[in-house]
Amino acid sequence: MRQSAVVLALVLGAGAAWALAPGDRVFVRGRDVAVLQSAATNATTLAKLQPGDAVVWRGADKKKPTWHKVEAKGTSGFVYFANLSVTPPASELLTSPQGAKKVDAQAFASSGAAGKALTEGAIRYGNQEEKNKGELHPTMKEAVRQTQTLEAIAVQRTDQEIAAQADRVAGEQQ
Amino acid sequence: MRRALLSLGALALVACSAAAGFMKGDTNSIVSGIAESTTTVVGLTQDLSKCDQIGAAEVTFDEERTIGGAVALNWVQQGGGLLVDVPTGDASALGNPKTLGVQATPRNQLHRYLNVVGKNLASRSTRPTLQWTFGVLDSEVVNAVSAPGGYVFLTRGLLKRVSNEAALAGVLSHEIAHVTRKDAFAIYQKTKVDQCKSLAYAKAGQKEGAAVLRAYSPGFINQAYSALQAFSGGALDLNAAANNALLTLFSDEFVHRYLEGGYARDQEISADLTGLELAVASGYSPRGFVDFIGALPPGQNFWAHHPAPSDRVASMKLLLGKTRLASATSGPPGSPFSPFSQDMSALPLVPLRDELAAAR
Repeated sequence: MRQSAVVLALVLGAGAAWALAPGDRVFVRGRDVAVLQSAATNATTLAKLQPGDAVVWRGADKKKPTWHKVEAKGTSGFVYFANLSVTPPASELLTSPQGAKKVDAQAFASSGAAGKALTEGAIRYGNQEEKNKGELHPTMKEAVRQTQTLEAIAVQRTDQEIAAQADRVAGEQQ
Repeated sequence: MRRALLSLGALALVACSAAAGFMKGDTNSIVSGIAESTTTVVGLTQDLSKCDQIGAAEVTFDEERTIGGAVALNWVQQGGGLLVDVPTGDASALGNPKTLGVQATPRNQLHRYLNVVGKNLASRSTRPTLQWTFGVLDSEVVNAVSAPGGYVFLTRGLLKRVSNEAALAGVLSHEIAHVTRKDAFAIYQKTKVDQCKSLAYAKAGQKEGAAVLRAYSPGFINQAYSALQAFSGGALDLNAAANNALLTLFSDEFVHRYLEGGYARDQEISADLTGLELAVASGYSPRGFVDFIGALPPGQNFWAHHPAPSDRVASMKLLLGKTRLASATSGPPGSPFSPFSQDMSALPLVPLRDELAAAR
């Protein structure tokens, strides 16, 4: 059955490759991930990590196996296991004078390309007269303005707001 | 019914009427309109070769964001518009999202909440540094849709059916997965080549090419052809003003094809599973999304191109069952960080915040 095959491939495909040993490098998933002094949510925060940060994995805590010990940013502490990944974030392909250049997620984030809102091309597409003929509600021009407003709302969300949301979800678990 | 957009039939209808805005005449008149510059067979061969080059080139982020923006505008326009309150005053301020003053109206507050939930999820995805943007469309139809580059939209009708944040997270994660997996690229790459070749054939005086592009004026086709002739290999810069006609040809046809066929069944099932993993990794109970999908009425036009709700639930339960079984027998499956390896019964559904009321 094809559906079962897809699911099985996802489960087994993920399972086949990982043989992690203490000292191996793993990656952070999630924003403002806390490195805590001990394996408890109320422990002192030693450092904050960002998506794609590489850390040295030291293994799961024996008493609380959902907390894993890592070394990062010159310190050693505990991170909730679901905030770690054996694979780094995907690389991105940027346009360059030489053609296209592959960059990792962190280089991409600092490239300026990542912060792009609607591009000039997309705005030109939406505002051209040919796309605004006939009875349209909203018009494509209005769709441009609405999308620009939405992008402002999205881009103005701070790391603190997003971290607070993560804490809110975690708080429900407790 | 105008507000019943994003159901397959309604969207397809609107796509046709939007394209009709370009309608200038029949195929013969288009051919005659461009006959002046009809290319030779040699020229046609060269043009077709360029089309293959355009199709073979990897899609850069710049191209993805431009085509994604154009597609997103189509979803907004055809989905009845966004539930946002646009600032009045200086229109040029809209071009600077970081400094744009957005009023704290209930509709805008709804979007603040949605973007905090969505960005928290996306930060755990394989593309955490995209400029993710989450919006609510003013449509009663139950649907969700994404566009390349990081755009995710839900309808007001869908939000009415969501009873907890875990369900909302599951829906958002499903769409995030389509973007991170670049599911649109398969349709888009083929669309580019097909549209490009139709353009080349139309300019060579062949009626078949002109028939495909019949919705566009001869002048518009000439603009697109000039852009094709100027293409000299490498990445295609659809953001350039000179390439606007190509961007339009590609975007319009991408939207049309997506509405006609959607993503492949395997892509939808995979997006469910990747989305479920993302929601659970973010701390939500998998029950939220599984129950939401399971409650969708069968045989109706909900998420028209998706597999039947019962099949989707079965796939997710199969995944959850297998991972639990693997945990019990030979340790966590896959990565030691697989979120499915924990005791998921302790994960919460999380209540929705009051801001969501603006969509109900």
